[in-house]
Amino acid sequence: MHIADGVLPVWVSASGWAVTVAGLAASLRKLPPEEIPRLALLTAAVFLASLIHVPLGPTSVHLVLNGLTGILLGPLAFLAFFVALTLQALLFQFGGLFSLGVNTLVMGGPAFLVGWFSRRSSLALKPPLAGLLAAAAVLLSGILLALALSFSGEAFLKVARLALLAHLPVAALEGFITALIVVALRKVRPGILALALGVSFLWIPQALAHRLDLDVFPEKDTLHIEAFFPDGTPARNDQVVLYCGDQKVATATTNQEGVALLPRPNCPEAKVVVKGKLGHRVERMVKLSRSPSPPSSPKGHPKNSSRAVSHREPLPLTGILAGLGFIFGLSALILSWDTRRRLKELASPGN
Amino acid sequence: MHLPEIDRYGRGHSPLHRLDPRLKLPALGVFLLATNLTWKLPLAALFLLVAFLLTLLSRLPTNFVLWHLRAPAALGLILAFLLAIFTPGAPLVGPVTREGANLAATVFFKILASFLYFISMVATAPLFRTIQAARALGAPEKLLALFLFTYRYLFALLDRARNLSLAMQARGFREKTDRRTYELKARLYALLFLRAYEETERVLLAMYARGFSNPRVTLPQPLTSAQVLRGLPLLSLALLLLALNFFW
Repeated sequence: MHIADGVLPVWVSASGWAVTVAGLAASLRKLPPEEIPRLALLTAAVFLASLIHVPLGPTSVHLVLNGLTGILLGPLAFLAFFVALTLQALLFQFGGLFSLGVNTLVMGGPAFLVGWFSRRSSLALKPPLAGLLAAAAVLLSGILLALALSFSGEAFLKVARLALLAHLPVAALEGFITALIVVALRKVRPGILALALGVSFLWIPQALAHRLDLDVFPEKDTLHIEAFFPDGTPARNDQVVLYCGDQKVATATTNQEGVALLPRPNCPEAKVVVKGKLGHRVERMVKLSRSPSPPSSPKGHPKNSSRAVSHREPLPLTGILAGLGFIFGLSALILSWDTRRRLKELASPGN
Repeated sequence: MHLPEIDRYGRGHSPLHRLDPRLKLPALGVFLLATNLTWKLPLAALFLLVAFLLTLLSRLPTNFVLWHLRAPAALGLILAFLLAIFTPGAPLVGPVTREGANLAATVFFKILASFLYFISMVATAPLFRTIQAARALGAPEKLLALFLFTYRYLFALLDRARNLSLAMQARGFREKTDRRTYELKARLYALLFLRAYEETERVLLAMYARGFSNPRVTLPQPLTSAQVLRGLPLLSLALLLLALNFFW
């Protein structure tokens, strides 16, 4: 899995470093300084876990754990993998400093993708899907490794194929064991995976993580108020206060859907304030003319009275598939171009 | 489970120990660039020879160097064998071709040379000094702090991982390729992560209580002209090797 120094062409190593540096810069910008010890401990745990060998037939293998790291740390798994791989290069000489950029992309890239997915969908915490994601992460690492090796020459192309084949049993084993790890974590401490997701929330800018939002829909006799967080989660059991000028005219509490109904006040303009937990607070001015008014929110007024407005953004599966297709297509193009170049070289009169 | 210390012999009196890591790190970068640029066997052999001489100059114990050489040498040998038989060309011995043997030797020499440059530059200074040098050379402080914390916690968590493994063995656990082994291994991984999570809360509270807010990696004293002069031959050698790539 680790590519040693001296194997790859310089342009491949340099490109790997360039992309890795960009990824690290983005990750470091999102990492609050006070959370560094927490991430360091989890990175150390991932590093140590990857040293534990698992028997496989007559031999034993060590797991990559990039899928599980993605699930536990979110997109910050990329940063964790860079540190873990640097330590592996320093302590065990697995890989090297010159090829560290490519090695981070090969192993941390899939971890980042799994982390990105798991932060958007709690499905990643279900054991079967966690296992599938872990197996896919190892397979993607194998493909990236083969791709990096294939740039070194024709002989390396065959080595790359062998390396990719060697990844198949490891991917299956990794998927199976990751699913079992998630089962064990859910059994022993069910809240731990939620906590893991909490750590991955470090990726979200703090201003966004603590932002509370609201929609106000003025109706004939009532004001329909919906309070929610940026990820679509309703703000439950939060206090809603309605002001006319500086005078408090009504209060209510949001229900399980984050909805509160208040009587429509007799003033031209009212202020709605939602006071959430942990200091969350949002307020909005609403114009209340007697004629039918447009909603205060850009999200639009729901057409029916059931107010089945969903603030939760669906997972862009089509986009993900299109993105993966694009990456594979691009890789295929590069490979075919490289093969054609080699064939031309072989067919040239000099050979 | 054992964690080697790359800087076990970081304090010494060899010419390389006396050089400042702020000069050794750029020199290492140029050495690695020069070694990785070449695909010619004579040049790769020359780079390996220079790397070997530098390792001798570092006066690191042979056992220490050989122990660390195991992984790159093993990976290099496997790769060299595959390259020797997969590269098309004129047959030499059995499936090995002349071109294959040439490429295999070149790659193997490059892997060994890269390792020897690395160990002679990094293992001849305490790791903390190397990290400080990286900070002085412009590496992000947050990244270096994360690295130092991780390195520190590795040794703390290692004891817990050892205890868990020992507890399994004490209860008669024997590894096999079966579902039960995988289930127990998965529980071992899960417990390791659980222990780390529990530790994070404890460690963070303790650190906050002591006023921790922003980790700092201190900068070393500015380089003196004598230190720079002492490092010039090494930097010149690295640049000379780099130039050889273009003029050989």
